[in-house]
Formats: sequence, structure tokens, C-alpha cells
Amino acid sequence: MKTILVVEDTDDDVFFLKRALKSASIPNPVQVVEDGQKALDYLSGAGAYADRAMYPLPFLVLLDLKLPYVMGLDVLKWIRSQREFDPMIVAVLTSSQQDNDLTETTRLGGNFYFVKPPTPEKLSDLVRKLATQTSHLMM
Amino acid sequence: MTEPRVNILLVDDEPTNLLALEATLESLGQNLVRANSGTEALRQVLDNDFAVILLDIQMPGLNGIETAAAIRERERSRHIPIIFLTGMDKTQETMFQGYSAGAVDYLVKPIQTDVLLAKVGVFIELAQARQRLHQEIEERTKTAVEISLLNQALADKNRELELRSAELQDTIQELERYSYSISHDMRAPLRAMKGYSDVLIEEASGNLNEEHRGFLHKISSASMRLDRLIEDVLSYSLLSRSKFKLKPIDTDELIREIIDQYPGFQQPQVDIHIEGKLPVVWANEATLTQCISNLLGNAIKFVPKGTQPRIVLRADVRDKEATIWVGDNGIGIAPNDLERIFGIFVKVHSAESYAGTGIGLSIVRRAAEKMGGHVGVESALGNGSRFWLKLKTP
Repeated sequence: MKTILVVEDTDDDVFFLKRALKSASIPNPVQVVEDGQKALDYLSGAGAYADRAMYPLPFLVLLDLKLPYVMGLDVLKWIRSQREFDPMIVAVLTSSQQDNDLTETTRLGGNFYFVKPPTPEKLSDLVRKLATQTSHLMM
Repeated sequence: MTEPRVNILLVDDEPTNLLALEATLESLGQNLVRANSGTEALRQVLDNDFAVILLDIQMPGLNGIETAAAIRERERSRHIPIIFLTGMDKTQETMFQGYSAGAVDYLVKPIQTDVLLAKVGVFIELAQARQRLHQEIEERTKTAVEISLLNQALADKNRELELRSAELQDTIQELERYSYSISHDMRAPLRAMKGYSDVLIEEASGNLNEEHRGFLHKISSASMRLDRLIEDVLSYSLLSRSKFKLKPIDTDELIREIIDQYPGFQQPQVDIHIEGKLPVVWANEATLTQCISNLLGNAIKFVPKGTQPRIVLRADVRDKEATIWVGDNGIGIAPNDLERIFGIFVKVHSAESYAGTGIGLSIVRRAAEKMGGHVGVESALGNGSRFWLKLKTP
């Protein structure tokens, strides 16, 4: 079963995200990195993340925008600059629907965008959309 | 205005002639200055200005012609008119010499009083007119200098004001950015409060007594209220900072969409009726959506307990301006509060009776103004309210 990579620096938000995934009965394994640099390292298999058996490439990245070191939108931009990650789905999480981040997310090639907290309903909805678009990616 | 006295220079080497001239000219009431030689005359014109010089031609030392030539040579005295006084023996030659030395006229001795008075009188008037002109020019120059000084001061003040207003603008922007990021950062701990209390409600309610369960619900709803407040502050501050282009927006379509999207705007929560077709206006879609949602939300919120809110939407268009009316069957607004309710954080009801952040209508006002429009309300206590939103039509 394919992996979901969560890029989130707040423990609480990681907790609620994992809980919501469970409530939404999304069984995929979840990997968490706490900052933007680690996200880049994980995805490129650098340093501690060299072992792809332990740290498999995710089919879905749940990306917080306000991150230490490398900001979420920069992570998104980097992912979209790598050809081999083209099929990777990136869903951006943000604190406010007022953010101008939505337009930037769309412009930089993000696939989904939702406002925290990530409720089971929002995640089920996301997975449903993913299933219709990219069913082969989920399993 | 009394005419200023002018100077008249009398030049003759014969004291009796001078005396005679003085006697004649005294009646003109001007300053008469004597000189008994050409040299003395030159000294006089060095220091004083004269309306006219009466100059004897035949004098020992510098004669009249030579004196006139010297007077003409000096810049300061060049313009002074000279009348030569001459005996009967004047010749064509002396006349010519006299004129080329700068004479304006001749008087032949013995001098006729009335002719002398008339000729000198002309030059007095001329001098006085010139003095007036000078005075006027001086005054005007002075005024012009004063005006230019004032203008300078004004320009300085203007620059100062521009600088200050730019500084203020910067400060305001900084404050708005600051409040935006603070509000933004406050949401993370708030999400934790709400999230964990909801987890406890879901999973641990059984272990708590009724009162403690109530506390948990209070934590959850209080954090939700704070979150709504922050969201509204963010909207308001974002609205203040944002710049957008206006486009023609079909309000009929937009408002029906808004109602379709929010179950809170549908039966049985509320009965919203749209009268006729609503117009197309100049607006920004997101901002107008916020305006309308807030107005509808406001109309729904302020009804007497147990009453179904009824809202009537209609519009009229006049002189390229549309007025959209949102009428409700709510509790109405006291006359004193009609203007106040659009201020930020203004609530005219206790938190227990009608919950709210006190920002909703300020957002509507700010949004309307940002789109070049206005918002207002007509109401009476117990009689419902009719909010209006005026926007330009294409």
C-alpha cells in the first residue's frame, strides 16, 4: 500500500491529521517530516532517507505551508520541477481560507487545497476525488 | 492719496534770477532746490532725483550745455527732463546744441510766469506719475516676493505632510501585516484546544459527570468562537490591504448561488424571497459574496427567539447606481445605533442574546467602499431592518 507523506511542523496538527485519516478509514501508511528541508531530503532520498524500503516515495503529499527552513510553497515548487514526481499528488493545508496561498498553490501545480483542521470529511472527500482521478496510485 | 512732493532743480549763476524762479514756482508746492553753477547742479543730481531741471545756458565755468551733457552721461540722472533758460540771443546753433545735449524745452528770458508754471507743471505730473508707478511696481514686487515665500513655505509644509502621510501609511501597513500574522499564528494553538477537547468529548465523555462534560463543551465552543473572531479580523484586515479590479457581476446569479451553497440560507432555517430580477453591478465577486453573506447572516441572526427569519431581497437602479435591499423581520435597530452598527467590534446586544464577533457589518462597509459603493440601513425597533447596498452599474 502506497505511502502518504505528511509535511507538518506542529505535533498537534500531525496528531489531528493522523486521527482524521483513521476516522476516514484511510489505511495507507503515513510518514511525517517536520520541516521543508526534511521534505526535500525525504523525496530525493538524501542522507537519513536513503533507504527506500523504509522511506518509500509517497503517492500523496499533505503539505503545510508555514514550515521552518524551506516554506511549503517552495517545497511544492521543487516537487513540480522534478519530472519523476509528476504523478505525485500534492494537497496543501493552510490555516486560513483568506490566504492568497490558494492562487499560489494552483499556480505552482498543487492539486488540492484545504483549510485546517483536516476533518475526516475533508480527507474522505480528498480520497474520493483521488480515487476517481488516479485510482492506480492509491494501492 | 495725496501726491508726493517732487524736487525741482533751479540752476542759474545769478541769485536774482534764482529768486525770481523760486517766487514763481513756490505756488506749485514742490521742493525747490537751488544751484548757482553747473558743478553745483551736478552735485545735486548725484544725490537727489528731480522732476525737472531749469538750467541757465550762460554760466561761468561749466555752461548749461556742458552741464546738460554731463547730466545725460550719468545713468542715475539720464532721464531727468531739462528745460533750458536762455536769453533773446539764442541761435539755431545753440538750440541744436541744447537739444542734442538732452534739452526737452526752451524758455526765453524774460520768462513768462504762466508759461513757466504750465511747462513745469507737466513735468511735475509726469514725475508724480512715475513715482506712483514705481511705488506700485515696488508693492507688486513685494507682494510677489511675499507670495513666492508663502508658496515656498506651503511647498515645504506639503512635502512634510507627504512625508508624514507616507510614514503613517507605512505604519498602518506594518500594523495590518502584524495583526494579520498574529491572528494567523493564534489559530494553531486554538486548533489544538478545539481538537483535543473534541477528542475528549468523543472518547472520554463516559468518564465525566454532567457538569464536567459541560465544561468540555464550553472549551470547544469558546475556541470555535475565538476562531470565528480571528477569521473575521483576518477578513477585515485582508480586505483593507487588498487591491482588486471591478468587473460586471450579475447579482441575481451570484445571490442565488450563495443561497444554494449554504444550507443555513435555505428552508426551513430561513425563508429568503427574491423580488424581481436583481441587476448587474460593478463589483469584485469574492468581496461581493462576502458582503451578501454577511448581510444575509446578519438578517438571520437578529430575529426574536422562535421566529423563522424572513428575508426579502429586491433592487432598484437609478442613474447608473443599483440599490440592493435586504429586508428582514428581525428585532430592528434603535435610531441611536443605526450608524454605530457598522463600526468595528460594535455589538448592540449582549453576547448571551445574540452571539457574534462585531466585525461582520464592518466588513460589509469596508467591502462596499472598496468597490466604490455604500451601505446603510433603515430600521425601527421591533419593525425589522432594511439594509441597502449601493453599487455602480455598468
